[in-house]
Amino acid sequence: MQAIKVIQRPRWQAHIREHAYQADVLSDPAQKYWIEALPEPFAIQFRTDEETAIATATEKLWEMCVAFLDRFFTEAEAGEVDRRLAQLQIPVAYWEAIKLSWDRTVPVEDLSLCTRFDLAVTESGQIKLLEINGETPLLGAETIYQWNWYVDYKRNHQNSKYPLPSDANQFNDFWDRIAGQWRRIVADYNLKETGISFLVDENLEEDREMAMQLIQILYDDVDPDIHVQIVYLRGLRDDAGNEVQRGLGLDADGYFVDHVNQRIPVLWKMYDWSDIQNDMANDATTDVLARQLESGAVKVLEPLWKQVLSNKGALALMWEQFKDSPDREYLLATYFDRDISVEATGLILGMHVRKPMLGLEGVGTSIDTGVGTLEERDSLGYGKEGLIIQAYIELPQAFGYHYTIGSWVIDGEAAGVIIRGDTSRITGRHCLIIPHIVSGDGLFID
Amino acid sequence: MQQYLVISAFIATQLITGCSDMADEDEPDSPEVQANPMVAARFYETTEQCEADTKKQEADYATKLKAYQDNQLKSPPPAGQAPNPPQKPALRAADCAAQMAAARQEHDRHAPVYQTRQDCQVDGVQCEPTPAGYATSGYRPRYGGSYFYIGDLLHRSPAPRTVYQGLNAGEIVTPQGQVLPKTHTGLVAVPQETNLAAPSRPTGYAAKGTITGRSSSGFGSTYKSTGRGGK
Repeated sequence: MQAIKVIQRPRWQAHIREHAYQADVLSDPAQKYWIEALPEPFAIQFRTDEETAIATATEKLWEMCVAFLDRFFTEAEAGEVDRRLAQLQIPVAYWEAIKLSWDRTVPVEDLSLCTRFDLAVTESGQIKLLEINGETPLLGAETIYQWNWYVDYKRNHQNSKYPLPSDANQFNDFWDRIAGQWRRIVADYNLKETGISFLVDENLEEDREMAMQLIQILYDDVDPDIHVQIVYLRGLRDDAGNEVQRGLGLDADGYFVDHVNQRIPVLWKMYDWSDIQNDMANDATTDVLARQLESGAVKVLEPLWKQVLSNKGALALMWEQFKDSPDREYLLATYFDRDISVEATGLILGMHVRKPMLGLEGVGTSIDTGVGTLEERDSLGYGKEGLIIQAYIELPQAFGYHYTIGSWVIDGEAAGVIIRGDTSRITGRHCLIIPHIVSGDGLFID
Repeated sequence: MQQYLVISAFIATQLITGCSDMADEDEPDSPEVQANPMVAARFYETTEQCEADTKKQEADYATKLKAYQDNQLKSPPPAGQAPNPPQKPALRAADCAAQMAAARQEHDRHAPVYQTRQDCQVDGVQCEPTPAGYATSGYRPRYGGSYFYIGDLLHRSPAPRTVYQGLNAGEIVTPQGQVLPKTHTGLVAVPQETNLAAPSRPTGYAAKGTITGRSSSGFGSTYKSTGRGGK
């Protein structure tokens, strides 16, 4: 694994505008979100054995997630499952619904579209799971654009100052794997009859970009005759503040309803279950939603059982489960911060990372040395639900950026990677998207 | 692996969402797409209105066509400079009855049903009991007319887009909840948002009872935004 210099393609912004769903942010030099916005653009080059190792780790980690969930939802002792759900601060009203959601996965019913693991891959070859983006994994559109970059580079820029190795490839099966999973969902959920609504936060462009990317794959590769629509969380207003499209609603029977007051039989959402649950508690409609979810009549991507995986407490429970198995090689020691065991205390005295159980990427995260804090991100209100502590691992660096590997897993198969860099050790909102290539022997064109 | 983005889905969903902040794929240097541009449409509440307007259009077309043909005969223009012939109206007076019946059918298929009149009126529409034989009994918004889009008329068989009667006189309410002034029938300009693109919406999923979750304490009320890259 090494950083390689690449050129800033002439007309790179035009290429992004013509070939990417998140054209505005990727092509804006001021935001430094895409490598060609930097004065010295770079990419990450993996060897083929490194690509294989990442794919193997990703698929193993998914197997471990499934084994963890099986154990999590198995009642070996009375009240055990409830205790675990309480440990993750999941509201009691949804316990039955979440258990039933996992039960429905055999035979597979509450389907998942995709998951993204954030991995630390070190130069010495260690691969460690940092986080599971189980419910609201973004970066799909970025994953597709890096492929378009690679194709354009190989086709048009191999005579430039920095050609890619002649055997350069890219570990990127995202499009095909998503298309495969869409096919299954289209058939199992009968999307031709039901259509599918995509719920996005009207204030977050990236939500809509992700939705549009997934819709494009659905239309281009699976079926262009499926009714799709975008539904906004709170509603859409014009510049004058007039509502032009109502937001998501809930009807008397607990069905999600769209802007034209139609029930939504199949919902894809870029909004966490915990947020939906908090909103409904705020709106005094918890019970009607919880009872509806128990019925399983409404299909949601990602399904309710994913709420367990996206909670960072899952990382502590997975460590507890796998710490004595060979599979621990992919995990970092992780504990709940309330844990007073010798191991947990030992971790607190050394370099470690504190993360809120529900906080999204980077928020409320700090790197502590045992005697003080090295780096931290604003908590923005997260952390009240509890924290985890995780062993610290130094991320690899390239041109001043620490980078993490986002590794997609779709239907149990590794589906490619997308790399994010950050000048801070904690990857957060001002991150950099770094494309990658894979090369076996590093042969270069003269 | 798909190598290049194909923009068909982009265009299709643009129509659905009317989203404003995505670059125009065809003209990268053009300014942003308007949030909800006005488009031309024809609006009728009754078959009679439709027939009167389409007959007027047909007469207008006949006059223009005759003038065009006369002009061609009297002074044929140089090759390549011929003016375009007038556009034939796509919606014929003879089709009005069928089109307005389709609009009523559209209303029966898609109008939401509420348990009480009060629940129904919360959305700013006039309400009526659901007719006998309706799948769910309760109250539904009263039919307020239908738009026929000019673009539809030019390119494919026109599909009616029904609206509801507003609680306030002189107002109509789109299924999206947008209140529009009811100025006159015939040619009008309406927000593009009122036009839903094909594929057609599935039927039989009308909401039941009072709809919650849309207030300041509803969906999105507790979310703590973390900015781009937050998920």
